[in-house]
Amino acid sequence: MDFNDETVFEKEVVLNILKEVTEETLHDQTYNQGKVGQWISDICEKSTKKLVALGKPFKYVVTCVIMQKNGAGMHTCSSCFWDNANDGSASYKSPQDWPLNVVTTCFALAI
Amino acid sequence: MDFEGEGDRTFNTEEVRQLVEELVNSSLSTAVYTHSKVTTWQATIVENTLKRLAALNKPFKYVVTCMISQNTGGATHTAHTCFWDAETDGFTKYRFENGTMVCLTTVYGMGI
Repeated sequence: MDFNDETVFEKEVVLNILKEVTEETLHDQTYNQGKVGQWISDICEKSTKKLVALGKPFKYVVTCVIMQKNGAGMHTCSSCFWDNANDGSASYKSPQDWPLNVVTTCFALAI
Repeated sequence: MDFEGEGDRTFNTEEVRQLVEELVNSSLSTAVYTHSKVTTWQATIVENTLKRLAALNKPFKYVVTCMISQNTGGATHTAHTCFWDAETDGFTKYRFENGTMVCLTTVYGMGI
């Protein structure tokens, strides 16, 4: 596998990928129990493919949470033990006016 | 950085899961979902987990995530995909639930 020389995490690029894939899969969709499983797998897999296609020497973990909007509170947090110089994370949260709550996160760790 | 037990290069799912279970239960076992306290609980769980993982002194980088949501019967779906080295890397999760909340804690360990 060929890698570019860049080993620094580029947050903007990754965030854009997460945003594009999430919006492409879920824009204008309302919560549908039968389809959620497929949506969530699609978001994770498509994001991972696009990230790998950047050709950088990173391991990736992509997580996605989809929640029905019914007034329940949800908090997520993460903490990482890694190399601050090269590793990083990016998280995309769906806009407030969407009928679903979606959070897609990517953690990238330099090899 | 020197690592003891350097021969142990595979993520030990069971050991980490028990560690997480212990920490989550000690923070949340008698708790009722309270908006003002959630961030403190999460910070405690996540920081203590990382401290304990670092103390295992294994050649891994770790990512710990904690999701706490109110238990109102609504549906929540989560998924992840990982692009890593299947021989050394792994993850574990622990789900805690009581009448008022659901807490899902995951740990991803990636071999250095």
